[in-house]
Amino acid sequence: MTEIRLGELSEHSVDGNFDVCVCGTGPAGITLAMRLIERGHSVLLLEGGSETFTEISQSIYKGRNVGLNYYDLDITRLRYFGGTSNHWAGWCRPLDAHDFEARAHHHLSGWPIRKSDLDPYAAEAEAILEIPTGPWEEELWDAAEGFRKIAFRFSPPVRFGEKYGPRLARSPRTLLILDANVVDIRLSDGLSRVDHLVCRSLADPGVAKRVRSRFFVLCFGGLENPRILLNCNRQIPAGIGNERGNVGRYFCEHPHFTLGNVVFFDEPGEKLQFFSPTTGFMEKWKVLNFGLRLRSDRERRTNVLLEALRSALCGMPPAKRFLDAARGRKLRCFEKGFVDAVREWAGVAPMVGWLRIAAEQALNPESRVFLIRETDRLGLRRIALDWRLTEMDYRTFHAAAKRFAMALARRELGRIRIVEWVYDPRAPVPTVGEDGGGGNHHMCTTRMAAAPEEGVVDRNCRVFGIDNLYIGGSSVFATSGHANPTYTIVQLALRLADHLHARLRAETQPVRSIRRRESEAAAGSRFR
Amino acid sequence: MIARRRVLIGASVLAVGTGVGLWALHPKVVLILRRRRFLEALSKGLWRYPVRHLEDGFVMVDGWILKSGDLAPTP
Repeated sequence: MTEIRLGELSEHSVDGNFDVCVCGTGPAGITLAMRLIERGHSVLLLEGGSETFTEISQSIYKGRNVGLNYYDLDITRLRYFGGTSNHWAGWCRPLDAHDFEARAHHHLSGWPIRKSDLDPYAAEAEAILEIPTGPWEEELWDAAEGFRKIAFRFSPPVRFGEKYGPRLARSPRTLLILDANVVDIRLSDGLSRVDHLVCRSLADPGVAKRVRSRFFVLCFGGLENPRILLNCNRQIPAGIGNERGNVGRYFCEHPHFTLGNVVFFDEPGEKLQFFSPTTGFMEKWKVLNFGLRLRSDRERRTNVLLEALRSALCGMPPAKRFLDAARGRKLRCFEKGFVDAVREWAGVAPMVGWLRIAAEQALNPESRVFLIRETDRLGLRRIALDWRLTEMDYRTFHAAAKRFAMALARRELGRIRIVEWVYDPRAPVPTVGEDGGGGNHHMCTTRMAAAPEEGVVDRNCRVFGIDNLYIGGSSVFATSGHANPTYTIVQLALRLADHLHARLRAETQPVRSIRRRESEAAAGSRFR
Repeated sequence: MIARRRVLIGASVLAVGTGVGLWALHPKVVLILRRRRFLEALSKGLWRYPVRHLEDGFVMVDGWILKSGDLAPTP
């Protein structure tokens, strides 16, 4: 692989007759590039950042949150070689089979592909992610309520740039251009094909280079993929792929919240256990998929004096309000209290813990990414994120907490106290930084659909209406499921690579067969 | 068991002494106890809260999801 910075290119355009131009070097981009190289194709890899973190590159990700309180948009992802895998925590799990199916109570749900379309890529995805083998489904834990015990597996975690950069470097048919920031996608052939990309350097934004390839794949991430499509509005005013206004809409996270505190009657076998609903549960209560995390918590040691103070303040609302105002943040009253601290000190601590949820989010066109007037250093408009949850999301939290608490009580394993906001709609929902928030997972903003009315890409991740433009990453998820997205991102990238390989082979075969026939004819003529 | 009682008494005295009241400490106090004692304490501490009947013989009191038999007298 040749590695170069955009500003070092002497030519005005990059036209190396590449098979595929992969934009972005996160898990999707690097997986895709590796697979295409293995299949014998030439790959042009574009990365807007550098080999390592730089403030100037990261600042391109700045944006505004105008919906639910969320992480700063330049904090929740990373912009350099390896992408957001550089701060990934390593949680892995495939989507469930029922995540791909349409559900009557969840509007627009269902993928145009099935889990069986991704299963062939599972073993390779697990090798790439370096996760140990084992079952994903452990048992039907509570048939009466409909809870399955499930498993997550953990990557070391793999930092894609560090881990697979050397492998890419060994490929002679790959060119990596750093500091190559895509600022425009130019279409031709009646706006049905990408002719070239326009890239600019952060070091010298005045310099623009054209990049040509046979196929283009955008792997910028769930917030940046819609951003570039919406910004490319010179030829299509609404933005590329956005004729029906779907680009940026249906933004999904995995809402993470503490649902309750738990008192165990006996010590659970495992410190952290995972549960998920059956399809029957979701249909019965008309809720979404979710993953529950049940954690036991005996060994946490607490400062007795500080907990005495906390208990006293939590019991005196006026004093607590005064303290909250003075500190600018709320004192957490669900922490272990003074009595617990004393109990620990006396060696008679019971087994307590917490119940948390990471849930699928309901598809909602008003939960979205859109452009704002403010521009970045490259002249691209920044984004605002309007993250919204719906009544179905809250119904999911409530049903999950209540029914799981019932299952635990029925089995005499313990009791759960549900947090107030889950059962009382008048109580304020905790925001990011207090207790809840997201998982830094940005999904569904260029969602996969069977028809352009419902999404942005087709079942092969191709942008509707554009023959040679594809999208990789979690922005193509049709629904979010509850599982962390990286595993599925890698599966989808492998599948996309195979699709592109088939298209490239189909395009070259006629040429080869014509040449072969010509050479055979020439050979025949010599013998005549 | 003696140690547990001492802790319980100590915690209650502290609660009353500071004016916080048992209501503020009850979620913590009840965690001391297991099984029957946990449930007895829970029912005593939660008497002031409305009992919301759920389906399948469960009730919710101050966020606690309890079996009907957890509270005495049984609702």
